[in-house]
Amino acid sequence: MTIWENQGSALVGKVQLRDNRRGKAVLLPPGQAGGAVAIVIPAAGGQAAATVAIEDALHDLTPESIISVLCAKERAFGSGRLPPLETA
Amino acid sequence: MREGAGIWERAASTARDGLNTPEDIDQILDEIVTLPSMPGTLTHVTELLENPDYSVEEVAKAISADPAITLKTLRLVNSAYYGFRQHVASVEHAIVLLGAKVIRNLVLTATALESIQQGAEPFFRHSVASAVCLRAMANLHPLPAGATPEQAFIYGLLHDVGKMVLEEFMPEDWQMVLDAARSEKIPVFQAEQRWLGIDHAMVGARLAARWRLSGELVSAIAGHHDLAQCTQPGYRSLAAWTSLADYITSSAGFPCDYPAPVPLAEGAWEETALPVDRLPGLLEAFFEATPEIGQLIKTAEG
Repeated sequence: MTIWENQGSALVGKVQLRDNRRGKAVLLPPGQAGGAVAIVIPAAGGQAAATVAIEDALHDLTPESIISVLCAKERAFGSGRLPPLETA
Repeated sequence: MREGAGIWERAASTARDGLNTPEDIDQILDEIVTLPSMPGTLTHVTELLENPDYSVEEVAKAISADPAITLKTLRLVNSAYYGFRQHVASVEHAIVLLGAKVIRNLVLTATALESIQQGAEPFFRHSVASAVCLRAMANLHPLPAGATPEQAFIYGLLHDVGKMVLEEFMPEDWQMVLDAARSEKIPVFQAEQRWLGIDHAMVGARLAARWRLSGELVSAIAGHHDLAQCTQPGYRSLAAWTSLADYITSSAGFPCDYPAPVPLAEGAWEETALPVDRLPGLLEAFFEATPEIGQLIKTAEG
């Protein structure tokens, strides 16, 4: 289960990448980049670390991580359709 | 006094020795009391509807013999989901409007709701949320084995029904399982296997088979934590979709037992054959449908 931590108005949690590495998800509230989700992919194999929108990271993340991140975003910053998210 | 206490102790003991077989589970289920009100009305209605020349009057009479099921069936027919402009006031009217297949599914839904609402509140909410989730996904993406969205709804509703049996007939052992899952940070089904030698998926599947529910449904229940447990391998992908809905609803804030979602069954994602870029759209469809969860709970509680 992803533990979400408040960092300013954003929420940050760890995500699992398909190649078994760990990345980070940053959930931004509406108004900041339109309530976007950014995925931080660590550097590996000579490639620099990258921060990409979740839409561009779907193939890098495990399905469980995609579900966790999008549910967390909806629970934290959505329109009340889901129960609120508990944060650490 | 629960009737199955001795049996469960024997089950746990034989399980620790690796002795529990499907026959043992059947024997365990034989020796405990089965869930109430299942499947009298449903069995009768199913038998009548299997005849292509069924009589509307006779089917209506069979449904109406059970007032709780009648009430729930009519509430479901008149819910926003079916979207009829006119109020459906009688069972006969519902049968004529919806036809045999849909009415059978409705009676099954009403019966399942009647049964599972006896369970703890988080269990009931999680079951209804899983039903709504699977139906929302099935509306967007065709499910395997030709399962309709209405059938998918039932898979979600009943996938954890075995937990209710365990909780009802062995409350102390059940509490021990929950405590162990919490303290060891393991999924409940693993704690069940460790402490009881069986898990709720096995119990639920056996129960569904005994209720003469479809092979697809029995398989979806049996395999939702372990695809290898599917009673019919051809239905593994239905179990995989059920596992996916289970994971999504827990992540979305409708967990069954405690906040940590159980992991997807091993190989479940691959078995769904779902392209990963379809996932956000399916999640959004579920989020859109969540008001139905509260409405269905109200419908069930009357």
